[in-house]
Amino acid sequence: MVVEDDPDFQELLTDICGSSERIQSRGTFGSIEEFVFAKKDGTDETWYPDVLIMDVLSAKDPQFDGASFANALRKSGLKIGVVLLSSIPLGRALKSFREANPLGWRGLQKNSRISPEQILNAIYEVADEMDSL
Amino acid sequence: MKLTRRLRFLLGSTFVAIQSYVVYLVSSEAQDYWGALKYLSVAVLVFVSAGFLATTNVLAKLNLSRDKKQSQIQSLSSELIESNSKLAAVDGELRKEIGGWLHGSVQSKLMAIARTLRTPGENFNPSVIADLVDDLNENTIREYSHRLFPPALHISLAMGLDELLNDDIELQMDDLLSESANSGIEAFTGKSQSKLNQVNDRLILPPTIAFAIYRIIEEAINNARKKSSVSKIKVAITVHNKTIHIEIKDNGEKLPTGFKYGLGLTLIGVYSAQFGGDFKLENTTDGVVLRASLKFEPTTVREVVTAKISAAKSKKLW
Repeated sequence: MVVEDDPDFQELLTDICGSSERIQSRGTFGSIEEFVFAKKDGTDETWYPDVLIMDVLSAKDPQFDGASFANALRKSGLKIGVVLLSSIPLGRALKSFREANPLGWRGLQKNSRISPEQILNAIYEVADEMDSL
Repeated sequence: MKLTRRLRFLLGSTFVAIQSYVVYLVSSEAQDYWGALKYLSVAVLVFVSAGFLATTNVLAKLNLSRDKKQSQIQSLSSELIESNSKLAAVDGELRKEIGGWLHGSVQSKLMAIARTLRTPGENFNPSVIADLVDDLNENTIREYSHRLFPPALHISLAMGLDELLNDDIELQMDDLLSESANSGIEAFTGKSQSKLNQVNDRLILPPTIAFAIYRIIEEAINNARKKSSVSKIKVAITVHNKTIHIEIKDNGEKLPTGFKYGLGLTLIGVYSAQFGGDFKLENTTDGVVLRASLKFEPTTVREVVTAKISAAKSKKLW
């Protein structure tokens, strides 16, 4: 699942995930709030992905940041890998998250040089780490 | 001659006494009509004089009060003019800086990109253009946008300040504002009412006030750093009774006598006043301290999460 409020990047991520046979992308959401209340098709059941790709900073979620959200998912017992994207330097933004979660996540800098391969590799590595836990 | 209050009272009393005596004389001593008239004339004269004195006394008081108020108004007016001048100066400096940056850095880099596109040459490589655009984006635009408003402030004040303060600056932040407090996101994420009850009252600062705090600290630190004698700067932010208190202390040289506020301190005053607060700069035993306060209506994480959950429940999503 992708949580990203920038429509261009949202489209890019959806295309990248769609190009991989290993990935069954299920949803694209513009905010954490939308994602939290997403339901499985035709059911009342919440569907959580194996890997969540999201931006650390989202204008649509002024109270919550991506790292805190990912941390909350882990604390609630969900086995979800996380790929965090950020246009600000990632070190400080992920400090507390990194300390609490040594495995099952990757951080990528959002810029024009980020390649589809980098994103896909991050997703695969995170998924593999989560499987091993 | 300016008459004092006591003297006026004394004279007034004397005239009243004289008047009373004269009236007595008129009533008891006058033997005929002309005698009585003479005495009455004197009484009237005395009475009018007393009245005149009393009136001038009242008028003098009114004039004094009016003069005092006019003086106060003039003083406030001068202060306002001075503040407006400083604000205009700040606005001018900011525009000059942004204009200089746009003209100097951004424009020149864009011209370089355009030149490369117009004269590609035989071995033109599009990645050269991409590199130029990246350089403009990351090294110029991003740097300035971060200076104007750090994106990390959207996440939290603590994170925004983390980018501003180097390792040589000690920061103490109230638990209610720091990252260590429960952000409430677990309750929201887990859709758990019981977890919501455990959410503490961490405060969510509106971006405007977070930015004001950031700018106050930024300006204060810039001022401290101008002094070569400074080796230590401490920043403390506390919250008490709907007021945020900021304190920036340095161990550098003290303020000289007759020290005047420059643009940076004027800005600090503006940001404090924006939120009904003020600031003070004074010497300490070993340096200088700046204290600023800002008032605000606190919103807690619990309130925000509760509102989000209520909205979700109303849409039958919870």
